[in-house]
Amino acid sequence: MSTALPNRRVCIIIPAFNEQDSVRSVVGEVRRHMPAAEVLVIDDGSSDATAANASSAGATVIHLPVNLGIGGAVQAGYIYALRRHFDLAVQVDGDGQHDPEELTRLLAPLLSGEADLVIGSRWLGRGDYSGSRARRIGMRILARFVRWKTGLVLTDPTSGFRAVDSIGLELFARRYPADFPEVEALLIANRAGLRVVEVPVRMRPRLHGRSSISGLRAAYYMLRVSTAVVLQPVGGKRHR
Amino acid sequence: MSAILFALSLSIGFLYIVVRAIRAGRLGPRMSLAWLGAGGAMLVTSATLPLNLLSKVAHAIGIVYPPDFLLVAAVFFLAVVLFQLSVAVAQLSARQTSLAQELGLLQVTLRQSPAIEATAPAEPSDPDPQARADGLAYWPP
Repeated sequence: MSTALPNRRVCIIIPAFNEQDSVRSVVGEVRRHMPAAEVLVIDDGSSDATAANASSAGATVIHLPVNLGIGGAVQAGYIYALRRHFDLAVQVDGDGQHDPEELTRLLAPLLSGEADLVIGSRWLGRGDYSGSRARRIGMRILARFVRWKTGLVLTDPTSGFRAVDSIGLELFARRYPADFPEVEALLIANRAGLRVVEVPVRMRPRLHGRSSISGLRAAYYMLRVSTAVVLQPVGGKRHR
Repeated sequence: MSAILFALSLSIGFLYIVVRAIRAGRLGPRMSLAWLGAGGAMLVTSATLPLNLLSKVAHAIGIVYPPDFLLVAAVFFLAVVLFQLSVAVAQLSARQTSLAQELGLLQVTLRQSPAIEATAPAEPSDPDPQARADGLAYWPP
C-alpha cells in the first residue's frame, strides 16, 4: 500500500554504514510504499558499495567523507531536510529492520497534529519481534530512566524508527547527539517541548550482518546512555 | 650544588623547548600559557632549592615530606592539562562532524545543480568494489 500525502513533503532519512547487501532493497521498499517521498541515504563513510547501490535504487545519496557514527549521519539528513524545506522527516535504518509498510502508521499522529515526534515501538503488540532477554531487560531499564526524567511513558525509547514534523526537524538539525543518540534525542525533544507519542510497529530481523551493540559494547551502551539520561538537564529551553 | 645545577639546566632546557614550539606556532595560545607556567614553576623551584622554599611551603600546608608536595602539584597540573585536552578534542570532533556533513551536503547540491548536471558526466558507477573494500580506493572519486 502506498500513501498519498497531499501538500506534505516527506524526507525518508536512511543512515547506512557498509550496508551494501540490504540498502538497495530497503530503498526499493520505501519508494514502493511512499512514492512521493524523497528517499535520502546517508552513506556514513562506507568502504563497500552502499552509496552506489543506494543511488542505483533511486535514492538521493549524501556521501560523508569520514565515518561520523549514527548521530552525525542522521543529523546530516535532518540538515538536508531542513534546508530543502521538508515538512516531515522519517528515520529508517539501512539494515532492513524497519518495515516500510509501517510508515503510514508512523506518520499518522504527525498528519493529525497530535504529535511532533513519533516513535515506532516494537513492544506494543504488533508483529512478533521478541529480541533477546538481555535486550528486553535493557530496554525496560532505559524506559524507566526516561520516565523518571521526563514523565514520558514509553516502551521502546531506543527505537530508531521515528518521524518528526517541521518543529522536530529543525530541532534535530540544530542539535543531535553523536553516538547512541536515540534516547538522548528523546530527552532533547522533551526538553524543547515537543509532543512525543509511540505507535506500535512491526520490526523484522536484520536482512544482513549483525547488530553493532552486543557483548561488552552492550554494557558500554547501557552505561553511556544511562549516564546521558541522568546528566541531561530537565526543563528550560522550550522550542515550541 | 650539582643537584641544583642539574635541576636548573633541566628547567632551562624545558623552557627553551616550550618557547621554540610557541614561536614556531606548534602550541595553541591556551596550551602555551599552561606550559610556560609549568616551565616557569620548574625554574623557580630549581633556583630556590638552596633557600629551602619547597620544604617551607610543604610544611605550611601540612605535608611532612616535601617531595610529596611536588608530586601532588605535578599530578594536579597534569589533570588540568588532560581535562583541557579532552575538551579541545571534543570541540575538534564536533567541528569535524560539522565539516564532514557540510561537505556531503555540498556534494549533493553540486550533483543536483542543473548547470553542473548539463556539463558533468553521469554519476560514475563503482569501478572497483573490491579495491574499496580493501581500503585501496574511494567511491565516488
